[in-house]
Amino acid sequence: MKFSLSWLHRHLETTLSAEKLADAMTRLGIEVESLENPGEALRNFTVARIEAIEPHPNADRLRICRVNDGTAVHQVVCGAPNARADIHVVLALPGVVIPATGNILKPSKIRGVESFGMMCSEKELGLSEESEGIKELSSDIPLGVCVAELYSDPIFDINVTPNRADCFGVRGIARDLAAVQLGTLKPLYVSTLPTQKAFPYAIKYQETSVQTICPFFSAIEIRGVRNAPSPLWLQGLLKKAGLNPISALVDVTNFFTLDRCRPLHCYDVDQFVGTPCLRLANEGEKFTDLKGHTHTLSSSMALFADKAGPLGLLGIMGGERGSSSFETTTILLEAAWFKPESIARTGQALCLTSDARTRFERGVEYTATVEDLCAAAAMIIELCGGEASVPFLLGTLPEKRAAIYLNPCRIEQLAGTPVTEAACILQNLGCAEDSAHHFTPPPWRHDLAIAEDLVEDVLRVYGYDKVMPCPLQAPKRTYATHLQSYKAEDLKRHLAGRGMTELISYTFIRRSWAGLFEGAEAKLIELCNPISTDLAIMRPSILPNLLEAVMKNSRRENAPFALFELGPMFDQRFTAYERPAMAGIRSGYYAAHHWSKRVRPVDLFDAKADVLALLGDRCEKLNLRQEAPKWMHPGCSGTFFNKDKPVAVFGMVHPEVLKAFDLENVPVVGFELFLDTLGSEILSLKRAPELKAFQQVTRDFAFIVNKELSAGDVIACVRQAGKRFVSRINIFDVYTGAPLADDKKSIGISVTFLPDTATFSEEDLQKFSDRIVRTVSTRIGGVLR
Amino acid sequence: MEPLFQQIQAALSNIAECMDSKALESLRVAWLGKQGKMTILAQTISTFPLEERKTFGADINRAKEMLQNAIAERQVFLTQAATEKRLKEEFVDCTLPPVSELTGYLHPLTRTQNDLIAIFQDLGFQQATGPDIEDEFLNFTALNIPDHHPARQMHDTFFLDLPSTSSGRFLLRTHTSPVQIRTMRAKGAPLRMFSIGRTYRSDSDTTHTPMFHQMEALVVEDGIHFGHLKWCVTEVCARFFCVDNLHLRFRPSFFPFTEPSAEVDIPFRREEGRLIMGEGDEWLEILGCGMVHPKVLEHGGIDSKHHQGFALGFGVDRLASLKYGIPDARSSFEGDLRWTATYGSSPYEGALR
Repeated sequence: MKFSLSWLHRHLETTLSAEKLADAMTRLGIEVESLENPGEALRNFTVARIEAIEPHPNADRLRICRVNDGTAVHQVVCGAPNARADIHVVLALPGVVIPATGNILKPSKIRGVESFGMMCSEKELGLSEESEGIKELSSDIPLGVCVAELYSDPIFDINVTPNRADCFGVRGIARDLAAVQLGTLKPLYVSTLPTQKAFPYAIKYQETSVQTICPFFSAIEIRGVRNAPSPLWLQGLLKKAGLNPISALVDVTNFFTLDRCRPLHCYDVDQFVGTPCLRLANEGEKFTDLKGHTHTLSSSMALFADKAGPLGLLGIMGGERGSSSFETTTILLEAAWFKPESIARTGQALCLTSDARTRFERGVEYTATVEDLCAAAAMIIELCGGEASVPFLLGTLPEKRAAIYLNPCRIEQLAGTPVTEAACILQNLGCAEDSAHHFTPPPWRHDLAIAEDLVEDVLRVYGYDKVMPCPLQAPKRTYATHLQSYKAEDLKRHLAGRGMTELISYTFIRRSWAGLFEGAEAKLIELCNPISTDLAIMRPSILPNLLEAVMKNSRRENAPFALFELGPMFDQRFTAYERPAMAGIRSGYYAAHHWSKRVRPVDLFDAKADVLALLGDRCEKLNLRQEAPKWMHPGCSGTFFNKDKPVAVFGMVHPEVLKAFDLENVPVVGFELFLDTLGSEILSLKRAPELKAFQQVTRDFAFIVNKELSAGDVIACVRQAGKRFVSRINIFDVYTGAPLADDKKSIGISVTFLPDTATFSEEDLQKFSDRIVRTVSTRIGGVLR
Repeated sequence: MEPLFQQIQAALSNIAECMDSKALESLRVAWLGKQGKMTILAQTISTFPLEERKTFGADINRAKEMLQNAIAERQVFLTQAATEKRLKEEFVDCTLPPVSELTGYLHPLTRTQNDLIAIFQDLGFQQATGPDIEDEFLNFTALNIPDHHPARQMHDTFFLDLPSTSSGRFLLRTHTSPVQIRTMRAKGAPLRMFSIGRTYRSDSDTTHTPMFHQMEALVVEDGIHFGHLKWCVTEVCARFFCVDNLHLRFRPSFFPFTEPSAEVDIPFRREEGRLIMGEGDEWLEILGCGMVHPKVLEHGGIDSKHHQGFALGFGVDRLASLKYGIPDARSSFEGDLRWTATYGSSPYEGALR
């Protein structure tokens, strides 16, 4: 909310500077986002008078003026129609920056006549959005006066927290400042209405349920008003508050909204068809607001309406029909109190914001509703004339609120410091101390409900900065760390150390990509209200995010990429709908276009190596099978299982998937690791190794086996055969082709024997070798080549 | 004996001129081998009269020694020459580039999170986690955010197309605060916990991304008051930004889940287009905090008559931007590797550097 210092001065007697007041407001919890003085930009403009004026020899619309700024007379060429002799104007001389354009004024020749300055309009001075002609000043302002002095009125732009509806009125801010002794609150201007007629309408609640939305309604009718632009002082206040002056009637209601946080509405009675009433909207009823936007209402919304339909959406905005105009002669001025929740729901449902809604949904003061209605009516009569009716009242105001008990200890308990002047602070803020330590909050403070709320008020006036910081005690429950997070961080470092770069990406993706990673029984989770269709489905895998990144980066450079991300993946079948995972992608060619000619595409063993690095020792307990989800190449992929639970998947990405990411001709491999399957054995103690000094011996074998057997089968068989003496197994060769039969392949395997009690003899080694050859032969039909 | 020495002289000059190890070996065999000339000659010693044998033997030995020395010397020479030749041949242009390896970077948010985790753990806080998908009760109601609060509307919160439960609709958590409730319920008081993770709001412009990261800390212990909160917030910020004598501004504010509530501003100044945090005339809002609202404690299963505590929360992305001078929040999630290479960190760098 914006307001100027002069507006604040209407309520607060103070000599403090705007800067001091702004600082105080911020420290009180009324955050001043900016403090600007429109006068500052006018520092170099001076008050001058047009001494003489004569036509321009070469242009009909231009004239040559002699302008006196009190020290010299300047020749200025001017095109404004209102330029004439003897008026006081705002003069800018060369070198001055024009606020509206930011340009520096220079002496110039206009159609052959020299001009040494410029007389400015309000728009050029940045004082209003639109203006006609040059600014005319009162003739009693002496020449040479700095224009900044005339317009010096700092404007506060404040950020009101949702609990402080009262600060949506300048009065409320003044009240807070007075409570911290930064000024004296001035009495509210009260005016008595002249002789009053009877109120002519019997306005009723059409349904009793309307009363739950609008518990109290009051109005005054004023006949014989002449609506016109409002006086300059009022226009000035509103302009500086960021509102466009419209007409006296509208400006008065806006003034009360901003001044006392009292939203009012002014209806044009001549447009009424029959007696208006307060009723619920019909489901689907159309309402066109005073800005011309049409809304479809529901039956939980309340209207001020007559026989012809809605005149206003109560508490939010008036209607197109029934609002005042310059032709209006009879008005109905409304002041009411609405249930904040109702207004909030209606406004949210219609996405309709207004100054009235902002205030009503946060809760306005209600005890002075009629008082403010009368004051507004009096102001209208003062500005527009007319005769007022007596106020009409309908419904009941909420009951007086219960007192809150504030045990003085509670302040010290919460704040850590005693505040002896607490009762005094609360009274300054409008709380009444009904009995000892029982405080009734003022009607404008709907946010005060429990003792803690009072503590906050005491503390913010006392000053948050006066509370001494106090170190936390050494923790009682100590140094147990969070395994899961440590582990995750370790895994990230593993991959980054292997040349992969970490990404963090949105966990919602487009449907077409999500569909590619939807397993057979998967059920995707959809957002009800996505920002865009590209961010509509909770990702069933991290891989699509990574593939998107590869796609985008490939457009910029042609390089091998290695990316990974750690984060959640989602499916309706998962416990709590999500599980933590890690995924990586490698793409492109290593050493491509390199003088060494060592180029090679990424292959599934790059992805497998990544998985092995992450799994570490855990691999030994897992089974690897040649199978993978549908987004992997079926022939070039595998899955590590713990019993029958997949732990990690790796392989070439399926060519159809790559097509969707514009990566058809790029080798791309990837992996996924499901972190919730890993367990937390990471800190478990290991057995001390037996570091024996016996020599290890390695023997190579080549077995001819059936083609469909995997290397893993052969390894498993050899491991089985050599349980007690084999320490390491490695595949050094895989061969198919002549002279082998078509259904055969040769697997070269090197086996390392580790002695336990003494160095192996030649006979031992022969015995072991024989056993391996025998087992391979009987179990899987392998023949030594 | 003259002819022997003449022969030896010839052999010696042959050895000296020999150009490769093989030829040298043949010479050695020819002269000193089992069937070599010297061996055969030595066998003739028995044909000499006794008085000449001694001289003859000495001559033979001297000749052998000369040959052996010459061969050894030549061998050394040939080896050296061969090495030199090989080294000369084995030249590689060292200005050629190696095969470039990929450099892996950790995301700057990871580093920021690690910084923060290290700080909070050092202050005795334990990490707690919660899911990204929460329900309305835990995300709002339990945190004293009423039904009609604007945050609960569609235009601020992402709701999910999942069957509702008695705890309301499912949604993407809008803050990490539900973890407070979960942890209070699981562990009760006393409690000193923090949580960090992804959060979501239906917002997308230059300063907002629909997904961002929050960190949250909660202390529920005997006698915890606003002074402890001020100390803790100041300590965390001072350590994170590496600033001595940090004076933060605690400004009254409003959050439904704390009472009293405060927003915290950190002083900063501008220097050559960069923000220097911790000192200066300008203020930047970085954190929200307050004493936990009694209703929130009750929802966490903690008796608010006997316990109180403080909570604080902030945007991790924003702190990362401020500390590492990252200009645009959105680029953080765009996966542009040029960006990550600029702002990311090596896996070998520890936290807090």
